Parts: sequence; C-alpha cells; structure tokens
Amino acid sequence: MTGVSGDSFNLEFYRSYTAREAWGLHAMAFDRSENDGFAALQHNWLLKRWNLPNAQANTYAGIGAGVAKREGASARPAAVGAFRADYETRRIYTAFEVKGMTSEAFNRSVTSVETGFAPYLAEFDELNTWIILQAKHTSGMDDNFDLIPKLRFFKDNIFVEAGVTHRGKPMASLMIHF
Amino acid sequence: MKTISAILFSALLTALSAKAAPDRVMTIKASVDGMVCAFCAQGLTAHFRNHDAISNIHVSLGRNLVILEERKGKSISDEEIAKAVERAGFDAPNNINRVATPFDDVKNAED
Repeated sequence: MTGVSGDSFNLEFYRSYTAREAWGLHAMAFDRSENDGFAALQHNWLLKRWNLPNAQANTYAGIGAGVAKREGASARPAAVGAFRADYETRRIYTAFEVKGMTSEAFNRSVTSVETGFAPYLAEFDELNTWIILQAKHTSGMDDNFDLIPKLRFFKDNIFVEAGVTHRGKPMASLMIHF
Repeated sequence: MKTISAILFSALLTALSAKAAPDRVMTIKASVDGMVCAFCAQGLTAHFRNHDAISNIHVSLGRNLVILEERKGKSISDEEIAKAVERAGFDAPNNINRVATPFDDVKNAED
C-alpha cells in the first residue's frame, strides 16, 4: 500500500503468512518540507474478526522496529506501533486507526477516523465505489489536522482512493493484493 | 457360491465408491458470513482457482454465497472447503449444499 496525504507520504508492503498475521516494511515521511520520516520492519496481527451475516468488524495491532531521521541529523533507532478497528456492511464503512512512532530523533502519532457509504451495492466482480470522509490528526506538526473527503474504488485486487484535504492538498492511496 | 457372492459384493462396493465422485458436474453453494467487502474477499478465490477439482468460482456478496463448480469426475470435500474459507479469514461455512443445477444458473439466480 502506498499513499500521499497532505504533507505525509506512507508506504506499506506486507506479506501475509497466515490469515491473521503479516509482516513487512512500513515507511512514512511526515513533512516534505522538513523531511522527517521513518522506515521499519513491522509485524501485524488480526486480533479479532467478527463475521456477521451482513457485516464484518475487525481489530488489528502492529509493532515494528527501524530507524527515524530528521533533516540534517543522523538516523536513530525507532519503534512503531499501530492499532486499527473497523466495521463495515455493504453500505456503510467506519474505521479508527492510530499509528505511533518514537525515537531520539522525534516522536509522531497519526490518529485517523473514517466514515463513508457506498452509493450503490456492488457485487464481488463489479467496480466498488465508496464516498468517505476522513479526519486525521498528526502530532508534532504545525498544520496537524486534516479533513479529507475522498473517493475510494476497488475492483478485483486493486484498491485506489483519492481526495483533497480541507487545506487543498491532494491525497491518494494505492493498494494491491498479490 | 461363496466366492461368487464375494466377487459380486466387492464389485458393488467398487461401484458405490465410484459414486463419491459423480460423473455429472455438481455445483456447490457454501454460505459464508462477513463477506461484505469485495476487496477483502479476494483471498477466498485464490485457493479454489488453483484446486484441480474446481473449474469455476463465484462470490455473491448479496447472497453470502461462495459458489463452486466441480470438474466432471472430481470432487472437493466439505472439510477442504471449510479450511480454505477459514484460511481466507472467514468462519467456516454455515451450510454447504451440492446441487445438480448448472453453475451459471446458480450464479445468476435471485436467491
């Protein structure tokens, strides 16, 4: 998964080795003008999944270790952690996510809440469309809050979303299941 | 006479066991809860597409169904279907039905 949102850039590449566990690379640049960022090897777990007749809910957690770097400084060891919870039906979608990174270089956390709806009920082999509103807070930055209306599309193994923050900065995300 | 009976009985058993993998093509309907997101259900199709007893697969989000078409003369067990569904992150099917209705008819049915 890769994406840019406001001032931040996010790259995640995971390999699932069971239905509940995946590991991979998580890298993030928080502020393109200051060049703050980290790269880490991360392990994710599906903590609990509720498979309901017309809905699904999930909780996930992830931890990782890597390096963080501020512009002009040397790289420092960093630890990352993440928690996510979501609930969706074929018509509505909600998600909460918090990601944190700590190091001697700097600390950051990104908290995000998303809610959205599908304007039509799409089947498995059709183009799925979602209209989503995301509120995102990033700690330790001047412009630390973004409200992002966005469109999400997926078909087969490809997922894309695009939007614009309330400050007029573009947001885009791409995810592919291999 | 006993020998002839034993041979006939053995032939009957062989014929009955051959029925386990019927010559006619069967369509399997597996009811799976939680299939609300097409992107998240992609993993469901991966296992079945590579299975030599399966010639076709369709996922119906609206009917909570995984629909499989068995190849002529081949069969997949309920246990194997359940394991594949669980490996994709869903609970084992609530119900697995085998019908002689053609795959496309089951796929295009209203319910």
